[in-house]
Amino acid sequence: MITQAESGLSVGDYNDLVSGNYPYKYKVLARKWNIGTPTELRTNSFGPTEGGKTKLFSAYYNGSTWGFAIGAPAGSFRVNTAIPPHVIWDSANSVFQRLYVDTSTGALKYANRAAGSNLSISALADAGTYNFPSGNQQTLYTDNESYTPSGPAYTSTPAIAGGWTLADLFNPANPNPTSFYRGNSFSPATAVVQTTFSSAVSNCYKVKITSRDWTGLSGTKYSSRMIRNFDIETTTDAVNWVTALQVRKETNWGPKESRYYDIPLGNYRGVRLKIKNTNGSANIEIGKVQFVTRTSTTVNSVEYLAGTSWDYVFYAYRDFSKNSWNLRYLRRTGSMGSTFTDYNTGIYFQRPILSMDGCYNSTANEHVLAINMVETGSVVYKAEGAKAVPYVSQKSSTYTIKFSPQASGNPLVPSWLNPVDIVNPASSYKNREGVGINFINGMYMLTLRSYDANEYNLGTTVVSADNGTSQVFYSGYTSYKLYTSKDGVFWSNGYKIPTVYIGNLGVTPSIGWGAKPFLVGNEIQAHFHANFVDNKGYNSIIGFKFASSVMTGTYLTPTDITDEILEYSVDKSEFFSSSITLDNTSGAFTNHAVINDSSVAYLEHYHGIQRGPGDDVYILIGKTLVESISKIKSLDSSLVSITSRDLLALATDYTISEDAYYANSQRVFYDNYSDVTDSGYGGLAHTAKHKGALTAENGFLQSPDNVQCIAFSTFATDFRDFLVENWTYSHQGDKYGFIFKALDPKNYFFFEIEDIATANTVTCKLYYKRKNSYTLLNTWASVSLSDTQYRRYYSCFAGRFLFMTGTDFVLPGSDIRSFDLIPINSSSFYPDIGSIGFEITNVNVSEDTYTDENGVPATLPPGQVM
Amino acid sequence: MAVSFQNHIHLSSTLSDITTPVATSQWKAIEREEIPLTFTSLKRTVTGKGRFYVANSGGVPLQLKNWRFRLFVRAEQSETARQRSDRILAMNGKVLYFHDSYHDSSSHGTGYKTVAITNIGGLTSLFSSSENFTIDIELEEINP
Repeated sequence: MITQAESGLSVGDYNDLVSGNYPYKYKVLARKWNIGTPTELRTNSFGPTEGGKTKLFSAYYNGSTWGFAIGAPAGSFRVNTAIPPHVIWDSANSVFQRLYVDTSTGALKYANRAAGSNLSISALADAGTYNFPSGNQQTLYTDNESYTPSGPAYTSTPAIAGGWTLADLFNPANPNPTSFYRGNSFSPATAVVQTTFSSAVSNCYKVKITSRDWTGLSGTKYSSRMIRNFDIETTTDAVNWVTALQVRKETNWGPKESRYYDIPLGNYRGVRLKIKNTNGSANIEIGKVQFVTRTSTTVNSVEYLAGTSWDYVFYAYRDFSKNSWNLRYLRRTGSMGSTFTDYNTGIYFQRPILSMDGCYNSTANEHVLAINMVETGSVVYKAEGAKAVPYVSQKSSTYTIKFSPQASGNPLVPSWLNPVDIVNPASSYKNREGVGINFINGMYMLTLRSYDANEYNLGTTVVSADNGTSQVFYSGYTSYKLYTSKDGVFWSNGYKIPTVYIGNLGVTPSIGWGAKPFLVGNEIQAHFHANFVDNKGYNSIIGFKFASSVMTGTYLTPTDITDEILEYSVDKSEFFSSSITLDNTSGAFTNHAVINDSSVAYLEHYHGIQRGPGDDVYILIGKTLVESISKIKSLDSSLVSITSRDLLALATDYTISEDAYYANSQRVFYDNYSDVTDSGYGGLAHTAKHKGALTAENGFLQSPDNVQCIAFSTFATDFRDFLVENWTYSHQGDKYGFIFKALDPKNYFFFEIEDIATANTVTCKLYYKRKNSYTLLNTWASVSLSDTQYRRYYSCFAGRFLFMTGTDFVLPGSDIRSFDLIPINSSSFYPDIGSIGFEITNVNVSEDTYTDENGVPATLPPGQVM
Repeated sequence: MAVSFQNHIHLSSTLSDITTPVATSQWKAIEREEIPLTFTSLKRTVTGKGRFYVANSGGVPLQLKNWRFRLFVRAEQSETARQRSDRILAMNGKVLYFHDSYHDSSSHGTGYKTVAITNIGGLTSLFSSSENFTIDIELEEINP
């Protein structure tokens, strides 16, 4: 029972109630979040002959009417775009503006129309074009290894032995060459094999060499006979040969192993291998030699648009050469047609963005962007024969990023990613897509198109085909989910909005894209374009409403459940929560209009006194959202148990995954460098040492002088999410930094910080280490650090690197250097994933040389590398 | 004949033993108690209002019966008293078929109940060397 302390009021007992002795009273009202049935809009002006089906759709409600934009190949009112167009409302000028990225040019096109006319669907010509400063389009190359050379002119010096023909060597159609070439003890000193073609092979940029298949044979012998030191020469006229690449010390070939060698892009008539007599074996065996050509296609760079307000339009710019997505935005201060100013948010994603939407909160003056994307998920092991083979799954993640203007205006300052929903692992039948977000009545509301099923229990979706027949797809249970947040950072669990049924079809359509919620009257409504043709022969724009009386402030008729409460308790220790047991003797709650499994209901708690018969005075002390409804039936009772929590609980408690498989790829753990084994080698359980005698002592990682040390974290596997924290005592000459995208100890990226010979000055460099050799990709200008304590902190987030210095083990505020890690100009190889770690090279300096008043030890570093 | 009180009950774990009565299914009872059983609850809501619940079957309250008997066990029906006491003990824990002493002695195919022994007392000799016993059993109707 409720107590005085809990409620702030005392509650009388039964005798008080019957005596009318001014007892304290309380009552509970139940109200329902009104989730309405869908309303179908405009089925009469979007016929199948006007461009066919499309998923690309955007809607905006300005308070009195809707504005639509539809992406489709052709038609009077639609626009030629491959990504969802966008509609935003300019309240100052009372116009809608339609924005989209033109499929043919990749430029931003815009047009506007005054409110008051038919804004839904009618012709609207483009009024202006904006070219993105980073470029509208890029060239995407596709490898092609299956060309067929014509007119063979194979030669070799010395001659071939062993019944083998050169045609096999250069014929890519030969799937499993077992060719054999005898080098005749390299007389002459260099063996040559070559072929020329009757016509040039266009756009060659690699040579692919494959070893022969010696599976089941003595591998060591055949591996050593594979070419080791050789030059690759090319010719453009079948007469003159030019050295394209010198290759040395190629070893450890496996059977049918292919290796690629970069050559200058060109149109070649032939390829030649000049094999040196330092090959290590007189016998040479090669499986296959091929040119790798590439074909090019033009693709648009901007993949998603999201206008948060009239003057801010966010977009995701994809850099195909680096396989990254850069979040940028345009700002304008004038009306349509004024010049946009382009800004970089500094956020780079390494995974594809699936959908994006944004909104503006004028009260807090902040823009919130919602991004639905694919990320690397958990590692799943599957048995293949006797081997356990790891597979990296994908997860469907939805985040919000909050952008706040600085005091001086631009640029906007982004928050970190705030998780809304992460499905891990994601699949075709369990997924999220089509994010929509808006700020309504003081609350952020976000919708996601959801597929929820499992591999044993697939949901079905019935889709009407063009000819009016129905098809059934097994694609998980489709619905929309609604997420709410007071601050755009912490998000509620998703409330499933009941499946939308289209009236004149009676089936669930394959709903195309995101549904941005708007406040329409007292209801929350969203519109989407359904990807089907209804029985009238038209595509449809469907609206549905999931209005909440809580959010709109409109009171629906409540149900007083006080008389059915058997047990009532509330807890106000942190937030208001209540637990209620209702009597269901009459069966009233078996299929109740408000208290039922499929309804989203909330309770209003009133406490008060009875001043006289029929004269009750109540005070509303709290509203709680119903979180669980349990029906308990026994032989002699029928009960309904309800638990509920304060609406504010939505802002203080959140779940970032509804899936038990969720695996956080951010900070997991770290070594504290405390050697409890007292052996000098303990305390490094999660630090995989590759090079250098790293030891741990008293919380410090000890590195030897003048020796490069390399170690990797055994935890982190992904680039986007990783965070490196490493406090470092360093001094002039030291080099240290972190490794990322590490495939193995010989191949990774390395961000290096070097304390150069000028005190408090560091240089930062980015290296790409491939095949154990470092290539300098970028050098940043030296920076002087005001701090003199030589303590360094660095972290990396979404492709942006932060480097700080401080005087103690707290984050400083003065020296923060930010670097954009993305200028990784490696056009040929750019791994998506990889481990992280660190490199340290500690110079040999006597402690006496330190000026640090705290007496910095000559050890590196008290770090935490996760 | 009509239903009337008999000087015995029928109780067996084998249905045919009582639908086509065999002599050994007959038991003499020296005490009999017939206990009606319903399932109800009366709860009070926080406003003091009564909420009465009854478990229904077919729209009417579910009414079952229990019985309590003190059986007299002695040498009869060609069995020794010990054989009969062993048999009554062996019925414990089994689904039993049962004719109350109030039954139609000419028609055993209907009117029987499906019961279980829910409580059983000790085997009590009338005096220390007696071959005659009494035993208390409680039967609960499984299905109406």
